[in-house]
Amino acid sequence: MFEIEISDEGKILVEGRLDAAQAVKAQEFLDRVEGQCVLDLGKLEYISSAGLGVLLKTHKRLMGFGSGIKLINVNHHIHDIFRYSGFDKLFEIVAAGD
Amino acid sequence: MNAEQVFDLSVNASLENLQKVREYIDQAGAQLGVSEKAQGDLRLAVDEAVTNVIIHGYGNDPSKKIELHMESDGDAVVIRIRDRAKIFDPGNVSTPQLDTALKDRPFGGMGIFLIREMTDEAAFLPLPDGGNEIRLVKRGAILTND
Repeated sequence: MFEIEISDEGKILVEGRLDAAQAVKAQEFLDRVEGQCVLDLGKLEYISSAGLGVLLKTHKRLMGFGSGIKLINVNHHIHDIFRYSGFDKLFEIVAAGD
Repeated sequence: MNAEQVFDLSVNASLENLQKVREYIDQAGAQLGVSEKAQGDLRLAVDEAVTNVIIHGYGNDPSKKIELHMESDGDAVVIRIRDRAKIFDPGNVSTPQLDTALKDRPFGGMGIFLIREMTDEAAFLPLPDGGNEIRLVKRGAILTND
């Protein structure tokens, strides 16, 4: 299961498992986003390199306009993958509970 | 934990089967007594390996098969992933430079890197009669009572 939607507060809620099977759905949604983008990953259970690629591509596009992606509510396991991937040096990341 | 237990799965090469593959890793891991941390690492490593086979090995042809085999070896978990795709040489895949500036960072190329990060051994072996075997070893993965 994978769902991505905009909350009433304007944050983008990401839920479920973002693998290669769901990367196209995620990319198509994020390609329509403009301006500062806050992704709430509190309900993201899993991400693979395909999902990392979606985040990276979107972040690069938005940085070109002077904004970018902020990742919030990141759980311990997902944060580990971001760290292994060097994403902690590229993105503003707020851990769950902070 | 039962040292005699082995677990096999055969799936068609479709990205829709990635969840099935991860569930197989979780169920076999639970039977073998794999720790939660190792389970998460193996889930990601196998997902990346199977994704590579589906996309790059088989060109998204769901009629093709991927065979998985998982067993314990002491406190280690050994997983073999076999396909009948063209021979894969991981030496042709460049290692991502994690300290690269954002503008120079490519979107892909993380799969093989993550497989190696998540396991203690990752061997990409050509099979004698064609195809490939990816052999993954995760040591200290199985919880013991010692």
